[in-house]
Amino acid sequence: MAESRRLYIPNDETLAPVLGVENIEQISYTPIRCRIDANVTVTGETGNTYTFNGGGAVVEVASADVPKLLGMRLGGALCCGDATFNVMFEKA
Amino acid sequence: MAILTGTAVGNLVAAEEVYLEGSPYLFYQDYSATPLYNPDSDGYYWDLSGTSVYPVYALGCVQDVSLTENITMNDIRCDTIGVKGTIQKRNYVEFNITILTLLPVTQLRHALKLSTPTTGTGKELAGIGAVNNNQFYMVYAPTVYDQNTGDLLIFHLHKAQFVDAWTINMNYGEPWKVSGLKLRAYADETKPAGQRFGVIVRHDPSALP
Repeated sequence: MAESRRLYIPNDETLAPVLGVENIEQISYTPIRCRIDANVTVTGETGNTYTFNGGGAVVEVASADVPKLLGMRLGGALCCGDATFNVMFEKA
Repeated sequence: MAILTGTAVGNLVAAEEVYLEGSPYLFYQDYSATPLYNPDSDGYYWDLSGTSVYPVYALGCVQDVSLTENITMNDIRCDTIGVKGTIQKRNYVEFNITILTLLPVTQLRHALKLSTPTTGTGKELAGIGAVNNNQFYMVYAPTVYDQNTGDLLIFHLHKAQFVDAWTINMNYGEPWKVSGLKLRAYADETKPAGQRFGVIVRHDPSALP
């Protein structure tokens, strides 16, 4: 009888029979770019932690974490009102 | 109306009745980036365009802003005649600034010459260590002098550093303020000789034909 367990395999259903498992939780990834000139470590909704080494750094992020990251801003009450200010991440 | 006496004759350029007030907005960006107009159709290098690698930083609440320059002057002195002129060399152009907005640290770190910050969930950290003397910035300072028409005057400096010692004043009953900030612009040899230190841009379609 095949084993039932969680496997994090990006977009590769062909591995299922090879591994002899029934339930594969497939995770798709999205490249996200850091817009802040700092070393940034964040935790997504899935609990995964991502580290961006400076502005412009691109990291493959689990798609489930993308909305949270794209909604993150640096700082609280911003002074200048523009909706694009201090947005920490963007899709690469 | 011309005064009967005391008025120059011939071609004359008069001043406008326009008075600028208050501080300009102050933006800066890593010198490694290129100006937005690089150059423009007239050959001038100015304006900033933020990227993910080189964001544009906006100084928030600023006070006591002044723009000055440093010049070396040596008289041409002929001992048999007197001073016949002066040799002048522009050394740098400098903004003096006081700021009241200290956060986020990711922005403050440039003004205070701190290390590259680390940002995590609920925290920001930056080190106070050796000063990086290779860090330069472009500076963009626009002043809107007519809000209705959007007329503005811009100072753009090509290659500046935050220099000199800062002081954070922590007084009772007052907002903290960082004084002593100087954004000093040096000669940028990558720009044409006539605009080595910076550019002044005026945008005023109603006044300029």
